[in-house]
Amino acid sequence: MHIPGYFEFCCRVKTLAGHNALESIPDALAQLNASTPLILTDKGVAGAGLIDIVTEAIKDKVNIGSIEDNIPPDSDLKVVNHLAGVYREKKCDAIIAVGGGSVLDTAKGVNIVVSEDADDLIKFCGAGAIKRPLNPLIAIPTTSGTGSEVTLVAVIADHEKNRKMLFTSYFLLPDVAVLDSRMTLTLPPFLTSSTGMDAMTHAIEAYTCLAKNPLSDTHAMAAIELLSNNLLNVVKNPDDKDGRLALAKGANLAGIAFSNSMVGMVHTLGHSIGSVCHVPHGTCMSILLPYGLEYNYHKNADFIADVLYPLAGPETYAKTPQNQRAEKVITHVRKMNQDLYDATNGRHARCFKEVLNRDGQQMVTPDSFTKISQTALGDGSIFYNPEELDFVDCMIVMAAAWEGVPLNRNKIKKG
Amino acid sequence: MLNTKNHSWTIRLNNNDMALKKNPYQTKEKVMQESTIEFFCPVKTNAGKKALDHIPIELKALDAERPIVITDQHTADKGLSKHLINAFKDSGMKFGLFEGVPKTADVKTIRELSQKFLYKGFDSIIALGAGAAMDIAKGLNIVVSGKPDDLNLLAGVNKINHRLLPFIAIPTAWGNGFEITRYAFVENKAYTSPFLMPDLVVIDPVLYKSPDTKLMASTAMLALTHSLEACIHPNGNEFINAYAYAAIQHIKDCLPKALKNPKNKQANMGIGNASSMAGCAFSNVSPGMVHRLGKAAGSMFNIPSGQCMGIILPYGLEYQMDKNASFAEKLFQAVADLDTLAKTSKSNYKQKVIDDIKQMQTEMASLKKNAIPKTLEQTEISKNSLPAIAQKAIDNGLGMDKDECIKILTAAYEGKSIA
Repeated sequence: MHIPGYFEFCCRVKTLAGHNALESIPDALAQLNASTPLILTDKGVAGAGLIDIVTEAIKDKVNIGSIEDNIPPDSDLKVVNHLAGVYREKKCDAIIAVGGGSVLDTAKGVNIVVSEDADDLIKFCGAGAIKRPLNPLIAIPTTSGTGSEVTLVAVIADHEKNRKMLFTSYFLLPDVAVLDSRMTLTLPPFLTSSTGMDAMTHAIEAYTCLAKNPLSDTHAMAAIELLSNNLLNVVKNPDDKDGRLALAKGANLAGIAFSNSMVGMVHTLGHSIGSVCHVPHGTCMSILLPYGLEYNYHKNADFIADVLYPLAGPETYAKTPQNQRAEKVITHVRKMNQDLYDATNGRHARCFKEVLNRDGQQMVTPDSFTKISQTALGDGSIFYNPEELDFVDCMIVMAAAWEGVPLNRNKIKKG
Repeated sequence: MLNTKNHSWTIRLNNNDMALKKNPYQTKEKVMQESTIEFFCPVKTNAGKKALDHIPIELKALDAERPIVITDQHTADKGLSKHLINAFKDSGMKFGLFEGVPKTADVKTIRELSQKFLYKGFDSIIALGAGAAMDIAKGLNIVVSGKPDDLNLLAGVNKINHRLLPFIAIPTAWGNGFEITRYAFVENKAYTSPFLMPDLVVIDPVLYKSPDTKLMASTAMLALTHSLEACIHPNGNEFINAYAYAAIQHIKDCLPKALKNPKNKQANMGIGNASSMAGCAFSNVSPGMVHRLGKAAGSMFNIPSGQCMGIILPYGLEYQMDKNASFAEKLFQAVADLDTLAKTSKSNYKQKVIDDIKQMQTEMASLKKNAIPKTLEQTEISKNSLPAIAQKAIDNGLGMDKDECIKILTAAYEGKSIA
């Protein structure tokens, strides 16, 4: 076991998970002394009929203040302020956020406004500026990937002033995360696969990068096992309820792990490719994960080797000699990407040249590598990567990840 | 004592517990299928070098600036409060210091402290030290976060329905293992609520310099018992296991080192980590059979309950593994490292779990100084008191046949496997 000289760990979110977990929401609200939730979501989630399932599960026991399903993908301060108005007008006393990152960020913003009676969110911007418990917030994720239901960060754009506001506080953690298999049952296979690999990346980077600790480790290992045992199967059998729930739990555990250990270069480059080329986050993660492991191999092969157990199971672990386990992890991750590629008729990309936009054009082209690498060097996650990532190495990794060939480890610097 | 009639699993009756009451050893799979799992741990952990120094910043983040620090005489005598006082030096924060916590938590001290608290305008509580300091702090928090009468009204299970004031717990090596749990014990009353758990637990090696080996071993075995029984609890889940596994790994790694060299701060602190993590796991399940038998024995004979649990543990687990085939695998997964896990065949799981724990017992029993009993016979407990211990455990909520309890206790008394 690796015990660092000093570590912190915290996840104050209550987890409810099951095939009928939504039905526990009224009790959870009552425990938080709330009875009139404002339900926030986006058109996609509502259109998929998920809000109907939520309201059906709770409407007999709570008084739903209002259902607002207009949160746009690029939500901003204006949306937050409008929704805060609805919250007050309908005399709500809690928020239920159903959806992904944008919905949850908006909900967190609304919660700051209504709890602190704030007219200007900027006062609460930054790290630790929110110092008191906010009103009850329940998060219901509709993908199994980001783990945003257990993160303490919110990003709200202010389009009028052309700025992004970042909020960090333990009080931004939702009070309750509800993981219900019905919420991800209709997620299409290629989204299931890329979001699943996103979660897998959280867990594997949490376990192998610099800020790991004993509790992030156990959460990460549990996540890897759940994700590995179920991802391909659920992509092939989308109706598998047990598999869906396992993925939701895996993504949640992975979210808890990485928000307490930070992540490494897979995220560094992934964020950068996302911002320069607009490739979806999960796709970046899937493609880059094996490269992150290859790049750091000389620093943390022992930790990577441990991952083989939950990733490939006890038999493979037992029959692979100790000094080959880390290699085997990398091969296994590549094989997962290949299997997911096959199972999604090629929609799960294995390398960046395969990532196409709606018009069938490549989203990442070699002439963008320079900008990607420059942007990457400014990303906060770079500090937690075992090997010090520099511009030249970023370019080398990008070239390999674009082509889909293993990283030539002789070429990278070894500090 | 956990002796209130309305104890957790008679009150928190969800479907699982209903089924359990009828048959405590019914297979988990059947019960779990339709139910929703639940996990909650409001505790933030800061563990390691200079952890104490972060406390002023942590208080500010909790919107508090004027804490009362509560510690027991023993901790004060050991000169440990000074480390905490030093941590406040550059912060400009003012705090109150109360070093007069009695051996066991009492209402009188809580009443006195609550008047001071309100009169002097404190806004948060820091407890430094062992069991009673934590119990006093939790009791005080009930009172100062609500009404004076709450100490009477809110005894029992899940009666506290609101967040309490910021509470930071700083355990030392003289604890009873209950510090970081949802439980508080004040005189003859037990309080159970997740709101009693600290907002922050701070584990700093400077507080683990020269522990009482016996007490520390007791804390370790209590943590081990709580963790392992959490892993086979019918309401068990991956989230609970994450805390339990981390606790068990700490004990396996650190206990031998701490026993070998009592001055090994890192190893001693590892037991502190384990105790806190196990407390988080334990707070999400109802107490198990070994816990209840050990607690009954400990309280009747005034032995640290962790020590009794540690003695009973292999026999209690053997009994439970015999009753439920899935338990051996669950327990083995919890205790074994990856290599052992991968190469051990299923049929050996049960024996390996028992051997592992007995190995720890042997190490503790063979210490030249501070040898720790390996059987109940080696303690002050007499053989003819075993039925009374069983009865007490049953009275306190253990849903088991008395003869079966006696069978387990007898095995632990003689140090012989349950035939």
